[in-house]
Amino acid sequence: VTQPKRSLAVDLGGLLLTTPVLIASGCAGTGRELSGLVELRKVGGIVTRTITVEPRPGSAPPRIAETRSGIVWNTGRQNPGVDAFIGAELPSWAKVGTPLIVSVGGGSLEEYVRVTSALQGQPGVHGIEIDLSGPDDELERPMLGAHVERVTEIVGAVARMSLVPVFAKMPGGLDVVPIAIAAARAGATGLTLTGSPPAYAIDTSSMRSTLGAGPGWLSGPALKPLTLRAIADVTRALPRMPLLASGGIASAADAIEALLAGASAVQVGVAAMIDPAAPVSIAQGIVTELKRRSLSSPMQLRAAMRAAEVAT
Amino acid sequence: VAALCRTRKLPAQVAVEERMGCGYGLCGTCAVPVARKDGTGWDHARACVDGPVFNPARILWDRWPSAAASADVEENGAAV
Repeated sequence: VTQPKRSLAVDLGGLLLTTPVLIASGCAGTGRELSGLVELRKVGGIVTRTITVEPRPGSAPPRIAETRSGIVWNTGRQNPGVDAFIGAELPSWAKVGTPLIVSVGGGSLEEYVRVTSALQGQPGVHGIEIDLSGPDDELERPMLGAHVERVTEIVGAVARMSLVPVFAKMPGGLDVVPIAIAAARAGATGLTLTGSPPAYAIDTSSMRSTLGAGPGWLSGPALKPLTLRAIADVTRALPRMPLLASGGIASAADAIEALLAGASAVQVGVAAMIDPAAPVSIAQGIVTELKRRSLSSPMQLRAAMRAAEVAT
Repeated sequence: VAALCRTRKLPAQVAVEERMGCGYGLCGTCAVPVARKDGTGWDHARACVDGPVFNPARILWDRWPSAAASADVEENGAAV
């Protein structure tokens, strides 16, 4: 019996990746740092930190607090603004050659539109991820992506403009299915599930928040079961939507679980901060698992889970 | 040290610490407020790759709460 040709390649609604393992937003630096640390050609894709119209100085330090199963963080979307990003960082990313998804953020509809417009046609931009976890300055609400009508409006505007695939990153810590459906109807190519849920860390000696900014967000292994639930629920609601699992994916076993739950790819965040080569070793681990099961592609894992569900 | 060198007009360099996420310049966690060379303002520099050694005259100490907190502790003798 000849073995089927095995490939890790995935097609995320037109965005072709050589492996289903990406580096999550905010964990990949500015384009120069990773080159000496990991073989970037073996990383499926990279999501940049969130880029806004104007430069943002970011939150006051400290920006991170360690917890038993992750980190509470608040970096305040520090970034140089879209013009400086295009001038100073995008050329380094383009040289890297790994498919690049630029995370687009803002506090108003106009900001999302202006960042998307500035990125339009820029070489080296293979996709856009819409960050919806930030505050809504325009409507004065704490989280932009918590409201179905706002998600429809912003994802719709970006998706209509963009010439590259658009992935909407759903905020964590809330009922994700209604906003996922809204983002899909508004024209998103795929969905990233999910962003970090809101969290808090207390410093008992100062009797204040550990973080300079006050509140923060939780990332790390604690999130994996939440991510799997979001993937499973949204897979049921939107069976054909490409889903990227984000939150608590730290090993090949975690990635396999996410693929079985219905994800087409995974994003690695905290694990890549601990070991920048984690996305490569996770991809290798997926290959080993495919071999063990005599499967030829990650998509077959997804299909196997469906078949098992139907059979029971 | 920064204040002493400033009053005595002595050149100085300080190695700083801030809580780090990755240590490779990837995550932007270890932010230190540092004035730009051209004097147009300041940015949060990364202690891990942009530092950890900075010219103390360019650090915006009053914008850096962690540094203020550790200075308090040292003055009170609670830690060395």
